[in-house]
Amino acid sequence: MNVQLEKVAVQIKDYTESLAFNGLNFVSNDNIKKIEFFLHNASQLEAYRLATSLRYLHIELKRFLKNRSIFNIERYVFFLSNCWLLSRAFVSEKDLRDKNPDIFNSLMGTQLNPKIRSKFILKVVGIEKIHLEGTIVGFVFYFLSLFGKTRNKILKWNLMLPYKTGVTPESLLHHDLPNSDPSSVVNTILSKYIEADNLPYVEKEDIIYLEKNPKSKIYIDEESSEDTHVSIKKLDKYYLNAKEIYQKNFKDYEVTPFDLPASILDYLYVKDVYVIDFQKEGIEGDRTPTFVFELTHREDYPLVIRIPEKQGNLKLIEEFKKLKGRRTSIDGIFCKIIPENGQLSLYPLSIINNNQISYPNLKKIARDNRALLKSTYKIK
Amino acid sequence: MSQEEDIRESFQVLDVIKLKLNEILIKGINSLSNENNSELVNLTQKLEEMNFSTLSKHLKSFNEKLKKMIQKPVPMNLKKDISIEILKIISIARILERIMTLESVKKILKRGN
Repeated sequence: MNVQLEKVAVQIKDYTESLAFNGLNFVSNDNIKKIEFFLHNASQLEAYRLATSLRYLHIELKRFLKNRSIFNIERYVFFLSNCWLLSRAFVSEKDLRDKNPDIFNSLMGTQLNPKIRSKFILKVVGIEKIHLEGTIVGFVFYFLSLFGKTRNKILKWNLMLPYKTGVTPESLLHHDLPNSDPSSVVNTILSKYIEADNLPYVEKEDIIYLEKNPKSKIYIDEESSEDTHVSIKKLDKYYLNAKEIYQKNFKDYEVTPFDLPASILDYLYVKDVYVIDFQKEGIEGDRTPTFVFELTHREDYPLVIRIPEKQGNLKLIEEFKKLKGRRTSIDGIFCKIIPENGQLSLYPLSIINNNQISYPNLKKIARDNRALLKSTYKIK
Repeated sequence: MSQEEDIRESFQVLDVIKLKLNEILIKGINSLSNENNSELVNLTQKLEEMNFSTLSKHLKSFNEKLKKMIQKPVPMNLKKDISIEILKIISIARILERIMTLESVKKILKRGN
């Protein structure tokens, strides 16, 4: 295995260097097939981080060949650079493994290895829409866990489909909720509490899978009303002052060369929010333009909301533009913390007003007749 | 210049470097015109003033290697050296950006304590 990893690493290193020199004008379908070969080898050698970076590099190169308008230069450069850094480290694999086994293991990465956990009580408190044209569409659902060892944690469920023309993320909300009893559609989980049994769970990443284990059972709490004050009250755990954010997220944070320019650190619940102003940063073509919304809130540290102008964020941007100048404050916004550009920046996952959670990124969902018929006649 | 302006300027300089290198990564090193190149040369001085010495060192080395490209065909090892410099500069700029962001946010939060 030692010799092989070194050999593969040398090939990948040479390949990325040649891409850096020649640019993308020489890239062809035959040429990017090489990445598929590298990806296969990296996965076999259990170099998971390298395999992941190669997978994304492959996606971006394919997007470049297929449709340049959806190619994202920042993602391309990030994954090209990651592939190069990792392969460079593995070129002298034996040395690295002997002298710095911890670093070696961290660079190899680990496979997400879910374990089955018995009981969860969950409530959706945030949604992120994913719309990578030509690649995938879907959602990341952010659940607040209300029971057991994961209580008060935010657990993520990724619901994604390969991109097809005409398929929008919202259409996935009409799909069957896997393993649900009674049979329901995904949309149901936006307003109801769910109880789940035998769910695969990755503790390190706080990821759950509602769909992977046929023995999982998802019970919809039909009695749970749309009044979600219980879960909203629990979000107070994520309401933090400046000192608490510093202690929790920044004090011992170590930067690595593999950090995304905008990596998520944690979640934050911001209260009494006013959107004061907004502006658009960045020029089309050079990089993804970003809308920056200035906020005031109950605490005294400055916060901004940064939303990149991507297909999946367009509705979110429109909704936040409407909030500018609102006379009454927004009760709360539940967000991810993503420090960027020297600022404490947030990406909003939900808005809370009058004890109701809403998801500003969701387009109004048209009635789905198929789902209606199914629930009326209980057809499975 | 205030501390905020200093930070803003540092981000702007890193941004210019990233944009120039992104252009090279799309169009290839041969697309680099004299005008583009002189902009990168000017930045080395700026980076030194800002105490970004490692980045400045690699940008200088990149520029020196570019000058040797007059030789045709370009020797393989020179091509390789230039690519390595580009990829190093990208990684260093990325780390610097991340460190600057985290340090700025730390300052903001300490002020709010």
